[in-house]
Amino acid sequence: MRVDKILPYLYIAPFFVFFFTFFAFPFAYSIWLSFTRTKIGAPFAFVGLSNYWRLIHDDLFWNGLMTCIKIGLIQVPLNIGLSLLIALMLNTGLRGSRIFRTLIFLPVATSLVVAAIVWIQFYGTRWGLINQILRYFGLPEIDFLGKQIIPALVNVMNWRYLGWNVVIFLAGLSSLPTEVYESAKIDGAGRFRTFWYITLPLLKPTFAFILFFSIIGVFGLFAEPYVLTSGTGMHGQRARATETVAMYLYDVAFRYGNYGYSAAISWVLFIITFVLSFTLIKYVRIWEIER
Amino acid sequence: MIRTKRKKVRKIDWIERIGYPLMYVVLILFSIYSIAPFIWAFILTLKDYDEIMGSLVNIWPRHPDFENYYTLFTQSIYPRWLLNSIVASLGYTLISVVLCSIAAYSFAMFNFKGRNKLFLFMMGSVLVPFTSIAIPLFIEMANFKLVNNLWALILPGAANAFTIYYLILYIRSAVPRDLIDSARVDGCSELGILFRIVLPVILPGLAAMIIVNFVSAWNDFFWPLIILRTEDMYTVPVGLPTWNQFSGTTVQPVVNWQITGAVVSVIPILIIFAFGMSQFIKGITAGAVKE
Repeated sequence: MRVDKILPYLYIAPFFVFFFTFFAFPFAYSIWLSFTRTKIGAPFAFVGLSNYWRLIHDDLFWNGLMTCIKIGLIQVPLNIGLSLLIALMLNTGLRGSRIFRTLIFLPVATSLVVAAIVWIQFYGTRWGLINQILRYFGLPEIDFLGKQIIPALVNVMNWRYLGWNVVIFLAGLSSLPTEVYESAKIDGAGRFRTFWYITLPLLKPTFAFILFFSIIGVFGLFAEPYVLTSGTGMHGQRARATETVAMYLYDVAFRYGNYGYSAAISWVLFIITFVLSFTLIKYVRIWEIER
Repeated sequence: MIRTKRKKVRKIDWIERIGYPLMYVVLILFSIYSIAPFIWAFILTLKDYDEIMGSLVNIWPRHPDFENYYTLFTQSIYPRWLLNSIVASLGYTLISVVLCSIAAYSFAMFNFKGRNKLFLFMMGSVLVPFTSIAIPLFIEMANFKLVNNLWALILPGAANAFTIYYLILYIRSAVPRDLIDSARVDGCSELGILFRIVLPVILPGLAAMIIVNFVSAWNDFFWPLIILRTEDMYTVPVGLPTWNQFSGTTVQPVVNWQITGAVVSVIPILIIFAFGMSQFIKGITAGAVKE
């Protein structure tokens, strides 16, 4: 066999050794796990579909799923709307747009943990900056880390991802063909018509890209609610209202040691995100190798 | 079709006159929203514990000093966490970029049997949220005796689809096939082509992936939280949220160190952004734009 026949395989071999060991194998293993009772302190057994049966009747699982959907339905449209608005403004090339872009992008530098810790300093009931200011003006305090936890959480996520989505929209906007706009101008199309009939449809791949990551992000939501509600130990019990599927899964696996059941949860989670994101990719066709 | 409407013209003038000032107002407000948490966090690091937790409105610290930074590095466990974060992030970035660039070269420049199937198989992994493989991966790591070990942060995820996809596109657009063919005719060895011709040409693309992978590893939370078990092995994001100190009967987080640690952990990323923000943006927007 000639060297250049096996060479391409030699080049991809290390990658695929890692890919199989740390992705494909655990992925397949999780199917098997979900059909077994793999639990610390209990004998191993093959239990068929009983983990899934239990899951259907598990209120905490549905609560977690609904939390994700609820937060997603508020946060995703809000963030997409705001970031598109800002991107459109920056795309007009007004003076200082580079500075604005940089400033709005800065929160991307923070980890979700840091973002939550910093925002807690605004939210705290006694010492938080917002409540200190409210108290100074004699206004009632807002219980951000209790009753108003959902808006507080959405705000942290929005703060962290606004600049991220702005630069993605800017990349999408800058790739639009200028000829279309010139002919639209010649045809006398107004600003809003041009936006509605030309810009928005042409931005479809960009929307799909952002939605794709939003779907994965929303159903995997963990760090922000985890840190905001339970991490610091001074904000009371973890609130049901912000317990996401990922947090529930973490608890099932690492607090109760029930790996089999948590694998079943992760599989249902995978199927939901797969159906949503696959539909999106198939419809808009992002990430292709062949042109 | 876009129809011509004469009436529109007047409206546009009106929009332009108030549009620009309005845009500045909106952009300035969002810039303040984006950077205010950074500024507030920094101001807090200049205060002592009692002043942070105090209920008096004093925005500016009474005796601003860098005491928190000094004690953070001399008296707390934080330097250890920082070191863990640096080792894990650098290790992950290095392995990821080496594996992915060599495999990407093969995918981009060779036509081998099964190439498209392997590519699709690999890209399919973007549809699987990490949450779905976390539990089996944890069990696998336990079998490898890598729980509570930094290798567990470095190895999984190194072979990731986003990095290789970006590099495949980059190599295809940046490396001319003729260059490789003529080098081959001139008798350059295959490894020589890879290391002396391809790698230098794709350095900007590698830089983008180095930055993106480093930032994502630096900010990762869910997986490190699962796999790291003892305080001395924590990375910064894992250590910060649960940083507690026993005072009397109640557990109080070490708020002054927590905030200072959060601020310090953002500095490396801000430095990276100062030099390579545009590379980072290129990296995260790959796929959002369709040529």
